[in-house]
Amino acid sequence: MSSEEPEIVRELREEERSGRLRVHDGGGVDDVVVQDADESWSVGCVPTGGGKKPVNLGDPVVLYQTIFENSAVAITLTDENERLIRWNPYAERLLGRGRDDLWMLPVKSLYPAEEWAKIRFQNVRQRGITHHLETRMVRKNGECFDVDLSLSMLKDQVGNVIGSIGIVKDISASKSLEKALRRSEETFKQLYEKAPVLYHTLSPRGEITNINEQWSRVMGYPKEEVLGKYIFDFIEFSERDAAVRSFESKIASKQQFSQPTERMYKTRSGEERIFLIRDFLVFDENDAVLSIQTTMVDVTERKMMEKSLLERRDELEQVVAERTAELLQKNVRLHEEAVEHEQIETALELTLSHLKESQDKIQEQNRQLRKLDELKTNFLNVASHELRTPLASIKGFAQIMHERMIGEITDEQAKGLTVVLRNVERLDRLIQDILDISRLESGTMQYKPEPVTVSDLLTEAVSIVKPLAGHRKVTIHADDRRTLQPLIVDKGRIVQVLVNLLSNAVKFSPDQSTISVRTRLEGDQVLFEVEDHGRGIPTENLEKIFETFFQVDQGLDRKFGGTGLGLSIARGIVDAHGGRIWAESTPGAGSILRFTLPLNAPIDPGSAQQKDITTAPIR
Amino acid sequence: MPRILIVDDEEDLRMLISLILKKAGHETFMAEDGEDLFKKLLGVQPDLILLDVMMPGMETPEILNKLHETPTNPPVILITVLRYFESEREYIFSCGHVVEYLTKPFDVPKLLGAIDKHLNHGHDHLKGRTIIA
Repeated sequence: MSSEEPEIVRELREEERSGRLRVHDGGGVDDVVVQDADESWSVGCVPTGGGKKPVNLGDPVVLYQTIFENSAVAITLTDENERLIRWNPYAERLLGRGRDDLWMLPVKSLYPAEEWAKIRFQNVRQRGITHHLETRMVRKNGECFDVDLSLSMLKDQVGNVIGSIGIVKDISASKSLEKALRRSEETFKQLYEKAPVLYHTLSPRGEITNINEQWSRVMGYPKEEVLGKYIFDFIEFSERDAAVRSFESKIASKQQFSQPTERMYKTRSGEERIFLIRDFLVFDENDAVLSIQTTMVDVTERKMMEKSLLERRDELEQVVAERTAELLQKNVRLHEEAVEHEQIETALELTLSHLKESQDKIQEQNRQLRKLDELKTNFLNVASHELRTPLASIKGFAQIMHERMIGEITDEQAKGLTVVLRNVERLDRLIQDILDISRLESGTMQYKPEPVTVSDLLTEAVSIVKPLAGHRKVTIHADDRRTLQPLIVDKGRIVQVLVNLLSNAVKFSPDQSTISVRTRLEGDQVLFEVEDHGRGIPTENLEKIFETFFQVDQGLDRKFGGTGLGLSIARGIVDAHGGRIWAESTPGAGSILRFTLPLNAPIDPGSAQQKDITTAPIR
Repeated sequence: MPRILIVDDEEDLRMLISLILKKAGHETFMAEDGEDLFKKLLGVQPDLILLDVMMPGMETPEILNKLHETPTNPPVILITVLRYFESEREYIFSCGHVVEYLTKPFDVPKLLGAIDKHLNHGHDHLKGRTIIA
């Protein structure tokens, strides 16, 4: 502020402080220094009351001259035409004008036009009284400044205005202070009014003396409606007593600041809102509580959110608790299941061990069965050996006797030996056939597959049967022209089949008849046919002839040395080769026995086991 | 005169075969089993052995193998009640000087025929062997 003052004013003030003042006369330059100015002033100011005689201060002209010259206000005198005629040094400094400049200057030019108009309007000249007013003056450089002006009229003895005295005090410093204060006040008011928080001001008794706009907006009341009302009327009923007690205790304790408190208020529309309250006590100069300034922050939303968060947390905790319980239950179930599994496992192990025992038993039984099987095979071999060995002796001795190797015999003796020999042959064939049947039925018949032509098979079989047929003058006619492809079979066994069929045919053929053997290819099989022209087989016996020991005519077998096993053996061997054997007949005209063999099929010795094996002899 | 050693546990058969062979002009010797055979083998020095199969004591393959190791090493004709399969025949013929096998009850003419055949062939017995069954 001091920087705004003209240099001249500052100089004056400096001089005032140092106690040095210069005295100016209208045109003179003489400086009078008053040594003890303070004392002079204090003497001059002492009132004359109390009956005391005034102190003699010397020449009054000198006295007032000194006051005039040293005054820290500007004093100007004008003539009757309002022109400057006399002024003190302070006036020159304040107005920023020199002596030549001021002499006879119309006083009007010291004021801005509008201010002069106001002074004129006061009509001081007419009324002739001293008048105080605040106005503004203008310096030579055009700068304006605020002043306190005392204007007095000078009149002569008859009352005519002869001039005026103006005493001018510079108040620009206090004016700008005042402006700053007003600005500050305005700023504060703006802050108060426009703040986003709620403000209210209370009397020490709790009456509302002021609220801000936000308060009005949030609470829904116009300002004029709430002023003078008790603040507690706006607090939610349940909290009212607590609020009153708290307020009173604050006032009593004169605690300027207090801890923020949460309070629930009720708006005009009935809505409940929660505020964070901060009170600030304002004291007067006597330290009595003048007012209470309160800020209220609306925390309703925050509280709601907190509450919902809490609820959500509770919900989550509940969910967690439920899940934990579920998991515990599951754990219990899992444990139970584990126990159950263990039990099942134990049961399974027990079952498994039983199964193993059963398996062991079965394996043991299998071993025993195999042993029995071996014993059986062994028995058959031994039986065969033991039965045939004596036959060998009988046959040999009969032969050497019959051939007369050990001496002459009669013809009748020779006939007898022929019978012996024939029966030896028959017994041998029977033993052979029984062994074959046993092997077929037990599946122990052994086969040696090899490639062989149909022609070879027929040739060998026919050559074996031919002597027998020759006795009866039966002709065997073989035809195999259409089957050149070799078969993979056990040659000996298939020859045995053919021999059995041919022997059977010879047996039933009339003397001098013909037996036909035919073969032909049918798809991937070879068909064999043996046809005779005997009396035929009754239809009901067409299958039975393949059964073991079945004979259509037992007399015939005895006559021809049949065993009744030949056809049964033939069926077993054909089955094992994957073929089929059957008979057709026209009773009285003859029979045809047929069998098939696949061109290439594995031999299965067991295939004859479950079937009913039948008939016919010889080898 | 060819010397033939008959090995059979059945006395009747030994007698019969011996009788037949003597009539046919052969000198015969007899053994009742495998052990007996080897006791007499060196003393007899046979030109041919008739060997029964399935005797008590030594088994046939054992006898055949042991024969193979002797210096005399005569041809052998087996006499058996069993018919052999091809594979069995091959085995039997491979493990000794078996040249022939006859099945019981044998035919006298067949027996004589086989003996004559292999005696005439001498040590050429490994060739042209035939089976009389």
